[in-house]
Amino acid sequence: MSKKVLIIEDEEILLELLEKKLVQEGYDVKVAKDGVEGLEKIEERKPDIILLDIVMPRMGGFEVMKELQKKEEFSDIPIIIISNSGQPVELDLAQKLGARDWLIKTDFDPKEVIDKVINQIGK
Amino acid sequence: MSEELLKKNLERVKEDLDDLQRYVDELTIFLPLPFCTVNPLNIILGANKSFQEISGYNEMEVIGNGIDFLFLEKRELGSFKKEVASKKTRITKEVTLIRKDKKRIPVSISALARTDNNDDFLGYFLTLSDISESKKFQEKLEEKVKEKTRALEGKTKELSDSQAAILNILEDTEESRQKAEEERNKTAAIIHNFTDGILVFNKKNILEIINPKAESLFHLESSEISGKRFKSLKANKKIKPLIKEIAESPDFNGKSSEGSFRREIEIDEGKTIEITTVPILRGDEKTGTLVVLHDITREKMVEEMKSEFVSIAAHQLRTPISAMKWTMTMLLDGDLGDLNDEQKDLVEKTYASNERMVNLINDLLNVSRIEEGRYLYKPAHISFSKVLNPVVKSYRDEIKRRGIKFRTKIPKRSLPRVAVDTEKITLVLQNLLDNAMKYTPKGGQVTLDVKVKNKEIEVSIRDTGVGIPKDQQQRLFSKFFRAANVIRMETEGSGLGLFICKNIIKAHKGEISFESKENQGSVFHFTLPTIATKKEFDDFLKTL
Repeated sequence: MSKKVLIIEDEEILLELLEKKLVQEGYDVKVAKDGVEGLEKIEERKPDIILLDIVMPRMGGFEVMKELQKKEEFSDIPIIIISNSGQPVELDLAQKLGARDWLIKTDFDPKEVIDKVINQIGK
Repeated sequence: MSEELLKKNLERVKEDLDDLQRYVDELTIFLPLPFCTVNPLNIILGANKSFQEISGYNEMEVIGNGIDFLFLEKRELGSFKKEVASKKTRITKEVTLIRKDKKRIPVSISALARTDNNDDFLGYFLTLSDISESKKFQEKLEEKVKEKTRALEGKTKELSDSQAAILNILEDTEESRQKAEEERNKTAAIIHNFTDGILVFNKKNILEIINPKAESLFHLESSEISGKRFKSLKANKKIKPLIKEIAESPDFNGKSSEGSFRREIEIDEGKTIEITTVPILRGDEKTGTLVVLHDITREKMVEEMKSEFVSIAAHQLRTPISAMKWTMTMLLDGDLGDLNDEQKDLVEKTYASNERMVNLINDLLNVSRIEEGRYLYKPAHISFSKVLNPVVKSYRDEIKRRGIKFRTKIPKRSLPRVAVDTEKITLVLQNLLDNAMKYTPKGGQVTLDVKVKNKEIEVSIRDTGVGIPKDQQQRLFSKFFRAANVIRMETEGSGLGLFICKNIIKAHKGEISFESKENQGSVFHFTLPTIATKKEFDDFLKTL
């Protein structure tokens, strides 16, 4: 059975490209365009890993992580942050909230993002 | 009474009278006082021995002569004689006696009138006394008096001169005093009205001045703390935070004081003030300490806003760039179908341009973080090999691909441990290798040399490239600086790379330097302190 990946990202083209790449790699991918939609998708089906953007409309990545921390069943889902922000204070906060990694999108390409996913949960 | 007896009595009286006459004569002759008897017509009737001696005439030469011939002042004698005749008392006058030998001597003459029973004027006695000695003495005295008077006059002149001089000095002093007073008032007014808080401590660290701004910053009155010793000020709760902070300044902890000391502290209502302590020097001697309190709340706010702005701007800029990057990567990887050669070439070129934009934004973000003073983020205690090896590996092929020889001289054994932020030191290595590679023409050589020294590791990156013009070398580490010769050959580059390198190395307590000759090449060196034990590492963290 394929591993389930949820991408929460408001930039449509990035979402699309990443989904395409992950599907090619054989993952079962769901997408959400903001935090609120993301939480709904998690409730519907618990993913094996979440790729999470930080700055998004309606609900940002930090709030999503805080919500997940509140629910024991979801607090153990590995999270990789994909964001173009990256101030030290943000990195600190993400680490405290349990993020496994923080990738700056301009510094990584989709292939490298996939490598990180494989690193965390395997194929 | 019989004629006989009468005759006898007369004889006896005659004898008695003769005796008396003799007695008087002998007495007068014998008397040391010169004198003569003069009749009412001023004719000399007799003169005693002393008189003859003083005048030089014998008795016969003077008897029968008027007294005038003896004296120089003939006219004045007229009134003297009249006075003697009328007053019938003793009259005295100073005149000049002309002796027989023509010598003149000053004398004092006295006359006493003689009268008979009917009070008729019978003539007078005239006495002389030589006053030449007393005259001389008087003259001498007068001369002395004159001399003294002259000297005194001289002294008086001197005194009045010096008095005038003293007055002038006093006037000048007063003027200077007024000037000094004016200056003092001006300084006091400046301190009083200054927009920064000011405290002035004297040589003995006693608080002498606190201005209204400083009072208002700490909500206290000058009277509460003025005149107190630095150490005792800690007892005042309101000013304690300030005193605690500046106690570490070399001006107060007794260590050498050179230059100024700066700290920031937060006081109430989210206010931040910058404290500066400066020694007050007169020549080489320290006469006190000046403490300046500058309210930087606004600057802090602006700084925070700037940082926020940069963060948002970076995010906004990066989003479309990452979309392009990802799209082009997938196009090139064939994830979106095959491209023909022309398409592939164009996408590759566009990808390279986009990467330049990525680097530029990263540089700008790094600069913004350096300026926020929080660049060194989480140093790790690791072997320097762990940082160096991946960078060397990734550059080896790239440098060779450009037709440049790449040599490394790295000790075989694992390198000592350092306290570094891997990402930042990687950036330094990348920047230096990028520069060496970019500015070295085909056929040249880049050498990376690592030396382990006592307490530090030194990395040198040498190239045989274009070098840095001498007149531009001192600005090399400045922000946005690019040397003229490299601007001509390669348009790319933000001018931030070396600025960032310098700040990263500085934040790691290392040193960075270079040597260069135009058209011959450059060599950049940087050092990092080696940190052997866990304890050393903990100590190092404390210094950041």
